[in-house]
Amino acid sequence: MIIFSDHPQSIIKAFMLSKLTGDTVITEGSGSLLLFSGNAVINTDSYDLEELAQQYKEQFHTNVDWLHTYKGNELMLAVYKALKHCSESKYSIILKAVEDAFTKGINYCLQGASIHSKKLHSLCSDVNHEVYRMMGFIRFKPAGEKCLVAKPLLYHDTADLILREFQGRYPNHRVVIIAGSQSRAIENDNIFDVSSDDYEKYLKEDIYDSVWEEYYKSQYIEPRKNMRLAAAKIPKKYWDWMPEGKTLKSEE
Amino acid sequence: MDIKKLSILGAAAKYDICSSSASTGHKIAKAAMGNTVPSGVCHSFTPDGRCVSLLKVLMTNECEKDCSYCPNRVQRDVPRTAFAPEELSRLFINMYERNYVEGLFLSSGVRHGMADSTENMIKTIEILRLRYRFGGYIHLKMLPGISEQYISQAARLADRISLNLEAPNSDRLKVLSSSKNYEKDLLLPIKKIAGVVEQNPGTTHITQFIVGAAQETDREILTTVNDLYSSYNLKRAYFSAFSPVYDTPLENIAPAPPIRENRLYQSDFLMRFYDFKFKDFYFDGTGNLDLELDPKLIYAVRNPQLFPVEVNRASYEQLLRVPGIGPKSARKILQVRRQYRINSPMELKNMGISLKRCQKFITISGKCYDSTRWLLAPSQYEYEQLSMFKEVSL
Repeated sequence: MIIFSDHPQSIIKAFMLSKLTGDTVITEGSGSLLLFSGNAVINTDSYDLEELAQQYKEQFHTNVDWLHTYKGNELMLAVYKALKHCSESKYSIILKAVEDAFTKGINYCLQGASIHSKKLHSLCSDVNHEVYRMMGFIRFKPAGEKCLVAKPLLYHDTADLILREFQGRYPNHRVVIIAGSQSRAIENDNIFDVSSDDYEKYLKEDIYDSVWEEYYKSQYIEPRKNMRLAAAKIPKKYWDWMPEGKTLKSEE
Repeated sequence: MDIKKLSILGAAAKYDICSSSASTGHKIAKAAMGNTVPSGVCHSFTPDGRCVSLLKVLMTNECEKDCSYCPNRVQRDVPRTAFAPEELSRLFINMYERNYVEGLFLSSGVRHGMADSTENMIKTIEILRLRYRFGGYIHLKMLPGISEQYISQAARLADRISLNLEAPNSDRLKVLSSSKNYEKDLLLPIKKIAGVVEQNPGTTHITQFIVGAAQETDREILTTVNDLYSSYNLKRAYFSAFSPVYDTPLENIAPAPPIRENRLYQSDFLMRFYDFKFKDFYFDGTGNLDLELDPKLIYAVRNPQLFPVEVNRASYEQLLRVPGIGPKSARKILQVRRQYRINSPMELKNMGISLKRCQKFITISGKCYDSTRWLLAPSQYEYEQLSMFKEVSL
């Protein structure tokens, strides 16, 4: 049985090992099999990617040189993002998409031509979408000198990705994201854990909440009302969390 | 803080459609706050579905001009107010710090002449760039008749500058304003802007047209847009469907249908990203685009000799002419074809290509997956215009 860690290289190694040894890769839900299995457990973290790629190439006469090119990096990035998704079936989707890359070609997988690679792209796209949305929808409160804090509404494990995006915007600030009890911060390019209790107190209303509300209303062109479009752009799941959700609800 | 003032000057600027905050320029080194991103960021959407990404305000809504469509025209009896440069820059930086907006869109009514109003706007962005060391996105709207000296100052500080043409030619402009001269106040400054922008990498310029206020045709608008792209280094044209404003000379003119604005945007995209030329657009007897079918579909129907194209052999340019296939999809097809022969419509569907739109115009490994009867009698064949909302689940 093959086990892997939450790392793109580890998953790609798991796929190659499964083909080379004929063993089964343990994905979510099948972890309990380990308890009853007499088979040896192979941990992919103790294998080298290059060596496995060489063995795979020799045994299956398949060109896997793309693993060391930007296309390989693109696949790693796609897997990295898919791993941030909250879906329980993400591991099996990723493994099947990786199989497509090895059997039908890296381009076939990267362009999402098969159903599995399409699903991989869909996972990535959900994660990217959340990061992109949060770059715009998050509202910060000042928390003392050169520190900003926000409490976003996250469905995936995207806090670190979001913080990285904000680093360029606030190069001299500490930026804190409160996500449940565990909060994350970025400062000088370093991401670290902080206690939510230290920052929750700053999340109170200030004058700029009303400034924003007034400004938001001023931009609305009533004769062009299109709630269907508005709801597609700001899904209803965010309406209770965003201050402008009140206005959207009243216009519905 | 005077929130009412923001409300008045925000509402006065809302008809400027451009809300893009995409830029690759860096106007100051070692910014204390703010950056630009190539894709831009939307911070909210109003109930009309428009993106709110910029703090879009006027410096003042006091104006000496008499533009017939404009809510700020001199003859209207509306509350007038103005920001001081210090006040507006402080307000903006606080909103930016809290991540309410991605940048500033600053315009102004003409108060005490063009020079005075422009100086106030430039002063505001100077404070942002030099005192606050703001490195984010700034769009500065130029006023009619602006001189080269101000254009140069603006181009050094702003990521984007714009001057609204509003109408496609001088005859149409006369309907909209008796105090603006098309050549002297608009076209000549735009030419100067084009020259200055070339000297300032990272700065772009755009313009906007009002659609449907001066009885202008789509042909007239697209002719001018085509000239601007080819001769004036224009980054992008925006179109704003006319909405009548109470207590203006045009208050009884019917509003332009949003679909007309949409067709102009589609044509504009076809020119910028699909290599469509002006001759590739088909206008009806009145000089307007078809409101039922989009311009790319009309092109395909009028040129049946170009179809169907084989997805495994067609060039990038041929794929771009197929309804339902855009630049991204065409590139995907070319990538996949390098190692793999596309065999089924499902593979195209998985790649994000709209089969419903493209099936009539393609073959996959020599096989047609939809009727091609239309090739024999294109004018009698019924086409379905797809809606962008059909697949949206709320």
